[in-house]
Amino acid sequence: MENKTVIKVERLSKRYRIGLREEMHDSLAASMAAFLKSPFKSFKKLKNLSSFGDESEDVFWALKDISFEVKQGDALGIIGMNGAGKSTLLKVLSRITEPTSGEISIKGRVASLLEVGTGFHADLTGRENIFLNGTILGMTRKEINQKMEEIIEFSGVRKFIDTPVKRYSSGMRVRLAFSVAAHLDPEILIIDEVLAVGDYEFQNKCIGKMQDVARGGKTILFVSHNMAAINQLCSRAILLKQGQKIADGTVSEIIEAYKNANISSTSDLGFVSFPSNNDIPFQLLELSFKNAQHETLNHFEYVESIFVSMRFKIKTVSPNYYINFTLLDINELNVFTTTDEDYTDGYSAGNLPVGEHTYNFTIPANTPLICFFATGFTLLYSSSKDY
Amino acid sequence: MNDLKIKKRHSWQLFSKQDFFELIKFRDLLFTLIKRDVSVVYKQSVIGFGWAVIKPVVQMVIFTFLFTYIAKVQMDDDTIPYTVFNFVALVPFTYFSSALTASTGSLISNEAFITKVYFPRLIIPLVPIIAKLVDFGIAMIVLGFMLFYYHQTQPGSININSNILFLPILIILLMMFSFGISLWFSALAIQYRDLNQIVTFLAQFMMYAAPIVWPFSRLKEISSTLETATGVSGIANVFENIYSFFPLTGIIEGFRTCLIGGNSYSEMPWNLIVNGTIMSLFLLISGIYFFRSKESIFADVA
Repeated sequence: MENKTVIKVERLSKRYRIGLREEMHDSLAASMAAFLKSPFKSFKKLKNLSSFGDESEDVFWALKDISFEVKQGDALGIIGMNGAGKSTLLKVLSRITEPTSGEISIKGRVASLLEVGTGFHADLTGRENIFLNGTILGMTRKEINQKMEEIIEFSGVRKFIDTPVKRYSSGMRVRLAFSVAAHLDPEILIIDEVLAVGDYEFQNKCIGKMQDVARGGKTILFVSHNMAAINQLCSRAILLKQGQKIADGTVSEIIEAYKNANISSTSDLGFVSFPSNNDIPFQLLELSFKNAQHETLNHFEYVESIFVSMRFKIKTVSPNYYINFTLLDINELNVFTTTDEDYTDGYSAGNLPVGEHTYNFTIPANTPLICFFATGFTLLYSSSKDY
Repeated sequence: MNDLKIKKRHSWQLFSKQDFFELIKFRDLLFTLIKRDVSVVYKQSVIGFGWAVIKPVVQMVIFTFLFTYIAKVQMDDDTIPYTVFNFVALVPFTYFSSALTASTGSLISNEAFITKVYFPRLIIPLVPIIAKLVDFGIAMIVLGFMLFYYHQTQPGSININSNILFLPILIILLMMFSFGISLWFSALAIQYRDLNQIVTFLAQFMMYAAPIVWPFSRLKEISSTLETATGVSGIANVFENIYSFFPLTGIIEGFRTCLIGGNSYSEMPWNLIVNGTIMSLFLLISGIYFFRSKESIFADVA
């Protein structure tokens, strides 16, 4: 029972046509002729969206020859860079779009959550939208009626449940939508990157809910760029690159493989130094990221502490500037910010003596950052200039 | 438990028993979407459902003024007020044109669902066909009051008899015809947005092509004019035969027989209704086939 295969994907491929650059005309006559021909051209273009003749250069394989199996009770993470084909794979698995070739067999009731709040109608109330969203996701009205109380409770928007959704804040909308989705009762749950919305507390609540689902013997397919979430939720993972499966294994192996694949494509940002500039009274010299072993790295494990070190030079003493350290998540949202400004005694970087100084920050291990690659630094000078 | 197989579907796999059961399984979605369509149209509007009354009434007033005072339409039977003659036809036509327009654009306006969730796509164009029945019902109530008013004030003008029992058949035929065309148009419109423009013209064209503002008896004059103009003998007959397959003709003449009666509308126009049914069935079945064959690419072309 435990080891039954519930999803079997065999040599799956999906082809799309991509837009090619329009040709340009350099004479009036040519443009006129093109104008007259344009309806035929547009027709051909629209028709080509669905029909493929010869293998021309604008054909794009979003998935190519993908095979894998998922056993009952598995939580499979699907990892890959943007454009690797993750979402297309989920769309084919959810029967939204048809594969070009290959075959999938699925045992059990599937619910897929590719977007939070699909089908929410702004003019309808929260309660009406629960019905709308729920039935779209495959629930019956009876099921929804039974779970209505739970759904409202989980969402935390009880007070506004009979208010049109257009008056909701975006956070409330997401809460309500996820709450509906969380109460689907499928045997196989397919989830795309839906955690990127909502506040930190709610995200944790969502992951918790999904863990419950996984523990209940349900099968989960989960796409995310959030390695922490994948690590927390999944037991196995596959790595996609340009529509092909390049690795399949345990979560830690695959996350490692993903990061190795990533490093080659990004510059080594573990250490940054800045050229000297004599015109400014304050200068940032160096920024480095180290682990506990004092190795300079550009990526860190979730369980590691990150030691940030910032070296700067003060050329003129002035109370006008201070150092501001801001940590941003993948959506460029401020996770936390700290500054050396102290209002009680007027102490700040500007009051440091002329010369070189070093500030150290530590980001403790297990900080649930949504993305640990996208840490950002903002240094304010005269509280308006960014370096 | 049955395995679900996902692979490229062959176009000849039209509509299996499984597809039908799936449609039944998703009936709650159909109801919810219908409810949404009905309740959303008149939300945040002062008059609300009053608009369902105002729209056809205003059109009827314009037509009555236009066709009785300016372009005088020759009626077969002077006992029937033009207002009634026109409004009885306008009510089913308004349903047809609004259902067709809404249904044609339905896949486009519900693109968000199509690209994000799986469900039997046939539900989407079906929703407006049913949801617009609410407006139709309201217009029918107004029509009822109007018939009652003329019945009281102009004795002999309205002679409703047992033919009214055939009305449900006509309504079903009207829905079949609307859905048949809509299946074709909605499946095309998601790839070729031109259909949204075409459908407006087409509805307008059908409004004058169907015997709504003019009595059906005038068709003879039109066909004989055609024969003299072209000089082809027998073309009048061919034209009339082809015209009888235009489902709106049977529906509208049928509505008049059901709701007005009297000398000129004593017999149900069965031959028009049967021909209209044949045409509607053809559109419906071919429409389902066409829609199903296009269905798999909706998410890719939307």
